[in-house]
Amino acid sequence: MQTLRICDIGLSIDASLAFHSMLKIVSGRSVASWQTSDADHADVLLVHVNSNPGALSAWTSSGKPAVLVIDDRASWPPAPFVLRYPFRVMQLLSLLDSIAEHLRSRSTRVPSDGAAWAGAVSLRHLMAQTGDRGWHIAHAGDRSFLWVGDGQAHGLPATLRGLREGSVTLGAFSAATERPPAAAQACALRDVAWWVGAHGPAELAPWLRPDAAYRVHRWPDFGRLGAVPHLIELAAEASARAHLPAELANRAGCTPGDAHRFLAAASLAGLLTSFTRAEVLEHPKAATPARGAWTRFVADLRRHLLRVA
Amino acid sequence: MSTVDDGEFKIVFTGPMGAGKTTAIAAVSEVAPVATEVANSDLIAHTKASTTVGLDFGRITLASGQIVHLYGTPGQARFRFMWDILGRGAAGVIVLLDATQAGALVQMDMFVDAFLPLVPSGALVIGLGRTTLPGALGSEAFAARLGARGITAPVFSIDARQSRDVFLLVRTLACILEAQANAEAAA
Amino acid sequence: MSPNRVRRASRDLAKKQLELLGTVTGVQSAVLFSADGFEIASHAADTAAASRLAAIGSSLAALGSAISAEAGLHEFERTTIESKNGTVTIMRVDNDQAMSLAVVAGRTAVLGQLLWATRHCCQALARLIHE
Repeated sequence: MQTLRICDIGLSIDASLAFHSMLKIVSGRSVASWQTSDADHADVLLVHVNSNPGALSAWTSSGKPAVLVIDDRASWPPAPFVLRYPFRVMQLLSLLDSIAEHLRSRSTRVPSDGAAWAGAVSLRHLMAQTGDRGWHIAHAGDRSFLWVGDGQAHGLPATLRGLREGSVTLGAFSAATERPPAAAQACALRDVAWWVGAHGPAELAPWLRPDAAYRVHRWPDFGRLGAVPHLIELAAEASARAHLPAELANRAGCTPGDAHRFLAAASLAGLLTSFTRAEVLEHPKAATPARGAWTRFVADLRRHLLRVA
Repeated sequence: MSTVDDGEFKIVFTGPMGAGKTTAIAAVSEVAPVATEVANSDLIAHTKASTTVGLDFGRITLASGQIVHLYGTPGQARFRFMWDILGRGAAGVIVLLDATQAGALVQMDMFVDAFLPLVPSGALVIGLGRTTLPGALGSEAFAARLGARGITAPVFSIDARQSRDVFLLVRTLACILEAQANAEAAA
Repeated sequence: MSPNRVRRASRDLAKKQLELLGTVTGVQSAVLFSADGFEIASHAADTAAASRLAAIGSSLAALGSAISAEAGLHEFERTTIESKNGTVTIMRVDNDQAMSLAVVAGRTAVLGQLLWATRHCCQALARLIHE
């Protein structure tokens, strides 16, 4: 779990006490682990809107997020993270989770220039157009292509294998002027969609939201698609109940990147249902994994099977 | 789950005649499996030479010393009394099916109906064999059928003769049980 | 031996043998069945009861074979389930384990006499079916 340091500056004594006691409650429920620190070592600043404007602008120019605390009757400032005092635990939790996700996506989104998602976004668009009878074509690697038509994907065996193994990157689709060659094989579109997501960028797919909860309503066929490590754990967690993306990674004991790829794959293959944050917060869950004879035993079994497989 | 504290628990392999239950247990068991196969005389139901009438038994021992018992049931509905005996108290159930058999969807319903009430966790994994043969139904048809009944269970295309595929089923069952334990602890 | 390979005439003769067994004190019903649990002939059991007894009997015979093999003993011969109100005996009919006989007897049966009569019946059945 990500550990983040937060520092409060210029709050009233009441607001500061409320913040510190709520932070203890938030601990274990947030997607990140929160610690208080001084301003020099903090990742996030919690600052009263009227305190020391110079220090605040110096802080924000460093690129670190700041939460503006405003008073009861103050007008809402044009800032991304704002808390109105008095605030409730759930408001603080929600805000801190958003900031944690913001920080994480900023650190992982650096290499993304949009091109990494071009194939997935384009494929998603194409699959939504059920009435489209035309043929489309996209680069799958530098010198090979993938055709989509007849509700199926078509490509040379090596191309399909490359997509399955993740050694080939899919580009954006455009209308095809030629049909696939005779040597091309047909493959279910949803299988290609799964592979594109499962081998895609580590960041959360642009059409998914860090503050929405996701549940798989149908398992992918890992026998046919192939199961890389973590996918089974992720599918088991995500089919048991809805999770925020960050929470899912934590639960399944894998990296956020693994969870993001899983969600992208499940979403592209049409296996995912999303829930709003409000629907999830109605049933807040503690984030500590279960411990007990049963859990230890099952975890043992899983490790054993990983070793022999 | 006192059986877990005792260091043992069981997984049941079931499904219709000829789906590969005996083969699957033999593929993953670390000991020579116990089989109760006899000559099959019902060649209309299935052309294979032998069929299980009692039970199959195999096991996996974990590094911690705990033991997973693998039980296989007879496939024919005449042996339903064995289903009840073997299914009761199982940690989870793996239903093996033959995708080329005409009644495979109905067979899945029958085995799910027979075994889910016996398995407190409700942990279920479907292993679908022969999906690449002509005339085979795809796993989506089976998953959709389960979905229509409100059951979200994995349906994997597998080859019961391959230990890797059988381990995939057992490992998935373990992941489902672990996710359930996590969810219960969180509730 | 598959039940559909047992000739009609042999089945009728087998039924006669089971009727004879039925005259032994305490015997309530008897079912001859294939190793995979199909009824071949029965005496004093309705169709549903006979087919259930055939299925359970074949499981018991198979488990008997499994446990004999596990213990390093010879082939399974017979097993007797004893309860407060009587006994059920499962006995293999022939050497190739293709068929077994289940005999249900009440409290009035004398176990030694019952087992002797059942063995006798099995020998007769083996002869007529392999003729």
